[in-house]
Amino acid sequence: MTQKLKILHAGALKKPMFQFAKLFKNRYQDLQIEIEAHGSRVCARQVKNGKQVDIIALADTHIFEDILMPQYVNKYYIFANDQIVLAYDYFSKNEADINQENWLDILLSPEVVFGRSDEVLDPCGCRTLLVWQLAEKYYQKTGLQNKLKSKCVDNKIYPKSYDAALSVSEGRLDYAFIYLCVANRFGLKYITLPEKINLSNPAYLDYYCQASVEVQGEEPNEVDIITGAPIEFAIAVTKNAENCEIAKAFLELVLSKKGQLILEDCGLIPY
Amino acid sequence: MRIDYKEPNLNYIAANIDKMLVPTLLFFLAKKHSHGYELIQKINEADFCEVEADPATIYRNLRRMEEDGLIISKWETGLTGPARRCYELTSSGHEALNFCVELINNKVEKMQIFLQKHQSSAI
Repeated sequence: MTQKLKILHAGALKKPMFQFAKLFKNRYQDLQIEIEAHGSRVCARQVKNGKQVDIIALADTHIFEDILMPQYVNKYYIFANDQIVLAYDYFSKNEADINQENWLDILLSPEVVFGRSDEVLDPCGCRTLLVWQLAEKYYQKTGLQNKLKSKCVDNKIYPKSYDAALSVSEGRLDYAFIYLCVANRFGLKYITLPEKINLSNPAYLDYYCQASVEVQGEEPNEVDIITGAPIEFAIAVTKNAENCEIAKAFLELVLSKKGQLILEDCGLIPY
Repeated sequence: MRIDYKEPNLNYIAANIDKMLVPTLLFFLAKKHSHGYELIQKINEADFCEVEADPATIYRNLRRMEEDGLIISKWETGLTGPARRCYELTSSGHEALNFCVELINNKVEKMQIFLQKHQSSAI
């Protein structure tokens, strides 16, 4: 019987996971690998609702604690770091003029359309709202986050950061707040935001903690408060893995020296 | 005058001593094995490192130090919960820290001579 490895992962990890799968397939040629990507919260909820997978890799360590531990996962490995950037393309409005000083003015100009992912489905959406709050504080612009929120509604909010990036590359959005690794995956241009607001650096944990966002919790009428923290990615073998040994070998590949090089090549900072 | 050392890792340390990043990482790891996240926070709080402790710089240096045999890493795991890659100093790492102290002492001595000469010429 053909052996199967089922991998469920955050959309942001599409490129590295595909490369790991390709490499793994060379090692286990008879192995059938199934890969599926969603927003991290959606991935975790699917496992909670009974979906069988061997490996789960998410863009937020807190989701492991909130949804998956200890019923569905015993332990998880924090393996990489990233940051939020403002991504755009050659055809985005004002692309020739935008820089680290004027990005807010350009986003708020009437002709510009920008997007993000949904905070309920995807940690990147939640983190974008945290970035906006921190930007208001950092630039001392009262009311900034509300102005950004009111300009970025409805069809400018996507299920995952990957979809927002795709919309930029296809011209439906001028700009999107996404992870740097996703911007790299799509070959998009980007503005790097100040470290105090881009959620990349553990040295600014205390500053990040000043921002928080309320999202719908796991139970009806439950509200979770998400506080600002550095962006970290984590991976685990699930408790209901059907192919535990193969799953552990895949995990070892991701955490190996070779894995570090692949992650770095995909724009992540490997641990 | 620039001195060339036989070991490439010592040459790297000597060439970058002014930034103080490698000595700082060796110093903290000599006290206690730590993971990168914790090291970034400690470096930011320390007032003797000239480099801004951004994650990309720190993790790249840790990887280089591991390749040079100054530190080793392993995943710190309990039975449950989060696991992080944890770094620990090797005997070569301890020797490298002593080498850094020697380089810094030499620099301090030279700087003190400069300050003394400047002071005496100003009188």
